[in-house]
Amino acid sequence: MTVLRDSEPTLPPHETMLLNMGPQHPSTHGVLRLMLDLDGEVVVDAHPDIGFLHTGIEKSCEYRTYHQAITLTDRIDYLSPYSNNLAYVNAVEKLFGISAPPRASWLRVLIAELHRIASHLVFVGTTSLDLAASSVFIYCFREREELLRLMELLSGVRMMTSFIRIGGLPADVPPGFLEGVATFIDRFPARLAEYDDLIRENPIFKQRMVGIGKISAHDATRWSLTGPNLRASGVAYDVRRALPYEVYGELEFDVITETAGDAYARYLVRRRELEESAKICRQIVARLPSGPIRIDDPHIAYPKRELIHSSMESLIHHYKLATEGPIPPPGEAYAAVESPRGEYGVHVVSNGTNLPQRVRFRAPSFANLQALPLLVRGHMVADCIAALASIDFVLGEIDR
Amino acid sequence: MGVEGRVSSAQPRDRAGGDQRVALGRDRATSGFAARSESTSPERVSSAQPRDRAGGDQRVALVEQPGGIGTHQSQGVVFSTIERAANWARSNSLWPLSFGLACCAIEMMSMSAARFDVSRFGSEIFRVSPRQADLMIVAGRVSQKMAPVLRQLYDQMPEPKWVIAMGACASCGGVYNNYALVQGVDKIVPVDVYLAGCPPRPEALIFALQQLQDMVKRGLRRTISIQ
Amino acid sequence: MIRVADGIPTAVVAAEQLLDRVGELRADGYDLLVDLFAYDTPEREPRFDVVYLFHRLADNARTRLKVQVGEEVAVPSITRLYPPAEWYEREVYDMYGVTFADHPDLRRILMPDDWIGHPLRRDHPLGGEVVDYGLRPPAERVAPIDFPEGTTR
Repeated sequence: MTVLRDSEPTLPPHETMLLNMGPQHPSTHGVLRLMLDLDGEVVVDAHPDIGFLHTGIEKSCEYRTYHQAITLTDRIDYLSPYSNNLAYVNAVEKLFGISAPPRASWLRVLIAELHRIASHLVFVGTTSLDLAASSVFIYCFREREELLRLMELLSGVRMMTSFIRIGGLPADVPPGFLEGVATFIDRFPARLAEYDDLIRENPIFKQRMVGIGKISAHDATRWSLTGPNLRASGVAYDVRRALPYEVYGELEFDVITETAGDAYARYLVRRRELEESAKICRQIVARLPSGPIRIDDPHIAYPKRELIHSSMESLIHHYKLATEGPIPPPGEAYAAVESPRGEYGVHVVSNGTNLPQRVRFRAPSFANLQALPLLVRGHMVADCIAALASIDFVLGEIDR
Repeated sequence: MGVEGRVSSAQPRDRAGGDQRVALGRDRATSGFAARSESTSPERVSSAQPRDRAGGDQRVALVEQPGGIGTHQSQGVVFSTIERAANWARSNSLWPLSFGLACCAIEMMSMSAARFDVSRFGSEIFRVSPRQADLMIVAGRVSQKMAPVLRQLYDQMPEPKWVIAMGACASCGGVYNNYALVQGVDKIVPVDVYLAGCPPRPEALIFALQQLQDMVKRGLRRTISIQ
Repeated sequence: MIRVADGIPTAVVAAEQLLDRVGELRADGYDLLVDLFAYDTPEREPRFDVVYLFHRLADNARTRLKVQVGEEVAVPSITRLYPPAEWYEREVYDMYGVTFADHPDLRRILMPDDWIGHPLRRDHPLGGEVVDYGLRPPAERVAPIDFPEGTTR
């Protein structure tokens, strides 16, 4: 029985029962195997067992060109696929020493924030579903369908858009997309008020979430939590503010923190972040600059579609990029973004060939889930569910 | 990537119940479902009925009622075989096992949400316990560690059971042709419907479910691939 | 040392001095262990680089350490200084076979317990199956991937 090293555990005088919350479980948010040592109904210790969704994405990326690997990255954190794409492309762009043109950068931030809203909606919905408030789930997915419809208008795909290229975006936004975003953002506060009516001050919800899974700021930093889990304990660390990327330096938004550090605080942080993301989207729609959406370097970024049909050089460049792929100079680079779960980072090592030497995905949920035993010790099994839901992890990114 | 209804299966699709011919009798004495496989004096006899699983002939009579079938003038009595009645009931209440593994699970959740409501097709609840489910929708990629768990859950489901391999990863390993994934869940469990997509749209999953329902209603075991 | 393109100060450390350096960083206020991973360059001796990335909340400073080890060398574990290293080091062990001395629980984390081989090593095959797309005549089909004896199941 493995025990965590941060405290000396005192074993209860009688035996504990080992309960397996197996990989298939409605409330484990994916295929997580959680082994609970129970003393009656009270959890003495918890041992997460991961690896049930290991897909070998990091190894697969070593056999793809830098462009082809973009589509593999979507499926790591599948609730917010664009943050994965963004981090990877940022890392590769650092290797090349380029950055996307302004319009592309603003649009990337817009899509990333829309995905953040979608992910937090899933969090609110599934957390409430776990606590048996199932109507909130239906409400949240109603909003999410609207967002997915916008994504489909933009890229043709609902979830795994991969609407990004090294050096910019594949295409400009279609007509109607920005209006759709503006309409969505205008209707959003009323919808948020609906969710608040249902659960925010609901005594049952509060009773099940307040005081559950409490973690102090000291422990949270010690266990390297990031994202809303860390901010709910009072530590104001947000990669968008700490190490700004894309155009976050020019946008106005607040870093939401709470002090309680319990499940309710984590819910509140994400719920308030929904408003902040809507604020960011509103700013982007108002201030979006015009301009090209991809840089002009034909060795890195695909040439424009129209040119391929008229210019021989563009055709050749396109062919080379599609078959051989861009070749960055040897080196390594790490780029981090603030995904809805925390700091999502990608470390790319290039050996001067067209295939990466190593692509490493630093998944925030990997560290967040390690702190789970701290959150559930001393709670009952049902509270364990609430604590688990409040971490908001995604097994896809833990196991990669 | 829209889903067009290109279904590669051997049977014609049974959309509006065109193939189902049941007899409405004027026999007041019987009620419920009475076995009436050979009909002696029908007005119209259907022909070329598919054989059911027990190999019996499914020919039943179509007796023309004044005012048509199913109107208020009919007696409200339907004659059928127990097999067909059970198949009809099974098909309209397929309870899926909640077996969402990865990204496809999110589209499965969207399917059960309000817009693409799947409960109107009978799959109201996603049962958590395999003992209470009859349909396993493998939604997501199956890794090496998960494979024995998948098989155990499949074995724990009571007969009759069906499997929908949702998505490219469950059908054939998907984008990931590597050491970590089982290249298609049909290496472990028998699959009835393969649904392509990464992830398939909720409408595509409902289409797959409907194809499965058709198969179940007619008591057949075929393998359907939907692309 | 390989070119660092992201502006994070990187230092290569010998395995024996790792604990001291990490202790210094801890004392310096680097509170978060952001990442711990490895990568494999089989042409070079030693082949593995174990990379540590730290973050200081006070001024958002980052620093990176690298330890270059071969196959038989054990790297000291930093779990006592940074508790989240436990799972990260298990993952490095699982994927590369690099052992960590004084690790509380060094076993596989992502692969099944009885997997033979360390998947992310460059000489571990990608695996998977040969897909017959039906485009080539049977004579030209690709040979199945050869797993050398004793390397994987």
